[in-house]
Amino acid sequence: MSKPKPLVEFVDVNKWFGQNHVLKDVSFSVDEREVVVIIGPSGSGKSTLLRCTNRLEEVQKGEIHLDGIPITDEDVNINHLRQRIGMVFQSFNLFPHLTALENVAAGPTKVKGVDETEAYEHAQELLNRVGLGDQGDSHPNELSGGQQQRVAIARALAMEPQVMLFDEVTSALDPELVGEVLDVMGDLANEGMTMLVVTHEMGFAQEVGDRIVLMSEGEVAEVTEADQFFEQPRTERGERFLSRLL
Amino acid sequence: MSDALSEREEPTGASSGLLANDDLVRRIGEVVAGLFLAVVLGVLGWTVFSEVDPDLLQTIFPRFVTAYLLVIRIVIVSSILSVSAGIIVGLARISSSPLTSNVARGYIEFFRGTPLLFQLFLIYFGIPSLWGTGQFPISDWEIPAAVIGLTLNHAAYVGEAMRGGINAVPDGQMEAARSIGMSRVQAMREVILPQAWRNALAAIGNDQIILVKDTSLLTLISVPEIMQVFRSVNSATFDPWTPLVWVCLFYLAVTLPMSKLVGVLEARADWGSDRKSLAKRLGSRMPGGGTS
Repeated sequence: MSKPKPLVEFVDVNKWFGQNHVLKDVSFSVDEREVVVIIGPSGSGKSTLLRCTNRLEEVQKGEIHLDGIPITDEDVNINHLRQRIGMVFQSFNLFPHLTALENVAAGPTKVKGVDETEAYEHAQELLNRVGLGDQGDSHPNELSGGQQQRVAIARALAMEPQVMLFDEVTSALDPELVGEVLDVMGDLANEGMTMLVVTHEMGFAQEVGDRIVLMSEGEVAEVTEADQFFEQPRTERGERFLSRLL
Repeated sequence: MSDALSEREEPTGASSGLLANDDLVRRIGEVVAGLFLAVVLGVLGWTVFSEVDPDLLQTIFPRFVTAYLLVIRIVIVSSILSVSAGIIVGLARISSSPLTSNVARGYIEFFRGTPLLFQLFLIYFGIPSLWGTGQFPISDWEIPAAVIGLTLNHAAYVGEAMRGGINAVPDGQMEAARSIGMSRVQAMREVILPQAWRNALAAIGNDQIILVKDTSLLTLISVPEIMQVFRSVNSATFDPWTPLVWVCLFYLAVTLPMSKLVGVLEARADWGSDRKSLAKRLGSRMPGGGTS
């Protein structure tokens, strides 16, 4: 069996906010078709790391590679690279002046220059896929949080990215709406999407995650297979983190 | 009798003092408003009846129409130019380049910080004098000078309104737009500006109505507008009330359609309120409606 190739690689990633050293020599990689879940206490740098992965934040030292291309390189065309990296945010960030369908079709039509008819057909398929086929004409403020987040996932998928980043996408949702969003993410994982997920949903991490990255104070505390991590973490910090969840 | 007693007890028992009784406060408000209306209508009616000369009213009407049509033309051109220029000023104001944003800031500070009349004088008297007596090539300079003055002045206010509108769009919108691969400029055009426009629309509309009223200053640079007609009629007849009636009505004839237009634009920019939900919202506010 050939070893799957790493799609996203973090190499000694360091970031400071002023004096604050928020990412310290972060190194790990995400293989193709793999779901890596980043967990850790708040303030441990999880979201910052995710935001560095599509250059919403700049890394000061170290490198991040996508499919061998150094994302963190100054000369790289970041607008091109971002099309290959889908991102879903905690606060949805749908475009409020566009309908659900227009939100999903915005990237392909405005950025990729895809033909309108084709883009809207594809957008409709994506809405069907996230269970919102009948909500295409709704504006975001007419949708529930869970529905908005599913449209946001469809919007990211419309660019046909190689990897999807999920930044605490269920944290802003009412508890009863969390399930529908996690279901869509689970389906996506089953279809073989490469995913990097920051979440506090440990059930999801255990069920859908292939590997767990535990972060603590800006460092990677451990990287462990998901099943093993929840059975018996390798580090003391992992044990402490799990014990606090109970 | 016991019924009457309990009814009287309830409001006093449940409320603490006069102001807690909503119905009573509403009544007092209506009485005050009614009295105000009666006094105003009475005084105004009596004045108009006793002071306004119906023959003169008719004679001077065509002169006011001519002035009104000129004002409308000046307002339309200055409005379009000042809103367009204002959007550019607003964008320059939030530019990441210190040079650009400071130039825009200086522009805004100057045009907001000095009187419009000064700016009009600067353009109307100042600029031609740079050519030497009788050498200035543009005849009827007062009209272009008026349009330039109103445009430059109001572009500053529109620019500030746009800056506020842009800043009120959450950062997440730019991030989401960038994350699907839009460039900064694309994200501005497709995502930020449509939302900023809605945020700023009320302030911009307000400013454009002020622009209409600012045209009254143009009488001081010889533009034959509405106040100019008043001054001419008044100095010939010593009758202030008759021409003032037309002044009032003709200004309202510009500003009222304008606030209507702003209302229509605002309703159109209010996305996510399709006909169904709009009807629902209106229905709940209509008396007797929205019983469900």
